[in-house]
Amino acid sequence: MGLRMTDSTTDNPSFWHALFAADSIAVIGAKNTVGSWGYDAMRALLDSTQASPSRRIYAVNPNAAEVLGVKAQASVLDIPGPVELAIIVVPAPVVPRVMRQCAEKGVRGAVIVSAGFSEVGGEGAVLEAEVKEIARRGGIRFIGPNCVGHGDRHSGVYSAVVASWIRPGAMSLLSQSGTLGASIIQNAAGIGIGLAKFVSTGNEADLHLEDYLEYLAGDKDTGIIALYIEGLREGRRFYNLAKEITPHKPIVAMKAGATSGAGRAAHSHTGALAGVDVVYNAAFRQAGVIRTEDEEELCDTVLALLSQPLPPGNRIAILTMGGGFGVVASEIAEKEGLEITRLAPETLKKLDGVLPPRWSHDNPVDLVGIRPSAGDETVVSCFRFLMEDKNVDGVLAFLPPMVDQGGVGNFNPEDFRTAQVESHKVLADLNRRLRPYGKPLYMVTRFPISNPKIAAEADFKVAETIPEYGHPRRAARVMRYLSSYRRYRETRQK
Amino acid sequence: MTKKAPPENSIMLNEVAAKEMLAAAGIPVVVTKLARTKAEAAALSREIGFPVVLKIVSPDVVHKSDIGGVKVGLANLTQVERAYGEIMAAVKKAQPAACIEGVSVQAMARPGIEVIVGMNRDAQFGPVLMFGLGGVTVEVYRDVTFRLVPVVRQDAAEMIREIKGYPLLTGYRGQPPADVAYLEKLLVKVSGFIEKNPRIRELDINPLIAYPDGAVAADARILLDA
Repeated sequence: MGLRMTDSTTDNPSFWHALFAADSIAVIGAKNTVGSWGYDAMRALLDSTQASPSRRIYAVNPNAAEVLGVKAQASVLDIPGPVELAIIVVPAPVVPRVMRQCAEKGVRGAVIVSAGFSEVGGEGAVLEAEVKEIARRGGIRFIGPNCVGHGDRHSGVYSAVVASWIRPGAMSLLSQSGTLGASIIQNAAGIGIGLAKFVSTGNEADLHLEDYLEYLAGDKDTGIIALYIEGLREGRRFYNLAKEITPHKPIVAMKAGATSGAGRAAHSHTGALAGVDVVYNAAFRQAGVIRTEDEEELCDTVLALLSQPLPPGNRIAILTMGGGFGVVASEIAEKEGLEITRLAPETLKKLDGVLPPRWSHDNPVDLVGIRPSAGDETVVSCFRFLMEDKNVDGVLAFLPPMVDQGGVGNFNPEDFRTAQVESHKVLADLNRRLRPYGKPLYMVTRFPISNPKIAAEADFKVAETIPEYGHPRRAARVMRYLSSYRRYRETRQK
Repeated sequence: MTKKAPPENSIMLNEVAAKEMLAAAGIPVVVTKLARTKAEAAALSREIGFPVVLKIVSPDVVHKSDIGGVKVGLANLTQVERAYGEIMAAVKKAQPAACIEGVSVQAMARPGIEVIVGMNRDAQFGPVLMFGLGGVTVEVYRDVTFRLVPVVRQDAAEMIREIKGYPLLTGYRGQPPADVAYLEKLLVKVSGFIEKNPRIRELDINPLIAYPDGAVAADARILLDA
């Protein structure tokens, strides 16, 4: 990709291995107390070592004999073999001492989960500077402090237990908030998105969001980069990196603080109008970063990126099983800046051949009362005719549920699960048949999968299916974002 | 919006100096000269040719027209001399402590579409370029857009097309259009000017008057690092 590596990475690239694929890991502050950080990290690591039995997991706690069945060591220095990665969950005042021991031990990477550093100011900031200096002299690169940890779903190295609750996949997430990061992971898991790497960046005392971004640019497990940003420390570097990454790998970002204005004394109109948020917007647009408003939109966009081609433009065709949805979806699509396309005369003729005479003869294509499922040949023909139309860049469809899911009174979770699995088989088949057209299809469904357990058990691969959204607004917005992204890529490749 | 005298470690160029700097970079400006006395104003207006515009030149006066510091359409010597006196009186009344360098004398620019091109330095992203609808209402309508410097032609094209007022630039209801291709090139040129002058902290070219065959800076303000 021609990315210039920073001095830190060329000096010591092995710390990336330590952080994301360490062969030996010590949890410093490991505990048996369920729900504590020391317990969660230990639990997630022990679960994952079933997949890689050569990885050594050590517990460090001077006040315990064992943690989760692993003999506890008094300090990292008491561990017999080498330690590549340290996960530090001890109280802040103890961190400098622990860090010194890690340096002595030859640890390459660390994750400092502990809080009580620069985020509290004063003595916390002094403590953070001390820890940073110890790490620098000891050759340790670290994540945090004040974060929920990190994880690599492919290698099974975790400090954040939430990263183990999602299937392995292509999305990597960098988050400047631990809770928002966890929320994005849970949302993603619920709709079947898988995770490659996750970093809760914390105070970014050592490694910055920009460092992780540079690393993910060249990471082969990462197909899509998702970001939650509160404030960058190296804005220009971020911009330059993003500009090189987005032509090859999409970056989808959520940035908090959209309402903050300039709020300072300026000496020109430009200074008065150049608020923080408009400048972020400019940087994102110019670098091809897709900006979403919330975590749901972020996941919706990632979902479409995984399985659907980018829309060649913003002209949409709507297929609906009733007039009402067509009206509502058209209105929403227009508000989102999409164009309700005029169907070519040949398309109308082709549709006449498969639909009853009373069909709408216009876009939206209303199936007027016939109740076919997504896999029905009549509907497949409609999709093909719409996608063959040169005036259509993407299709949004609202169809009845594929399988009877029972009424409210006799809802049965088992039937529901079976219906979901069945429906995904149908959609995967449809997706395969529509792929040659190079245009996206977005489904609007009343019951998209929203339970990580069902998503995992259904074992469907999101990259092979058609994304389903609970509301036409979500689908229309995804199409708006992605048609802009495609235009960006086309105009920047000239 | 708060506007105040420039901070200690900076210099606010007056209109005449700002335009000279822009002109030297190949950015078209309305020829503007500084008059320190009524007699100089009269002589300069004869040299430039009537009608002319007179504006107060003072680092302390940011919104010149708000306090009666601008007189336009002055058609002869008598009007110029009277305007000079009125401007001095108005400024002394509104801002008695203002340091006055004189008045600028410039030709009346022919009417066109008023846009703004500006620059500000962002703590994270560095220099950013702004484009939008200009004139005195710029902070009311806020119909502006930003890009990071350097701006390439494609960025410039997108900036111009994404403001709400873009239809005004393409000839709205029989009005003459602006030369959009020229504006695109001008944005790239201003971006280059900013790159070559790292001392510039803030810049306003407002209004830049856009015509079917080009554009010209009718007023400009530059804040430099000292």
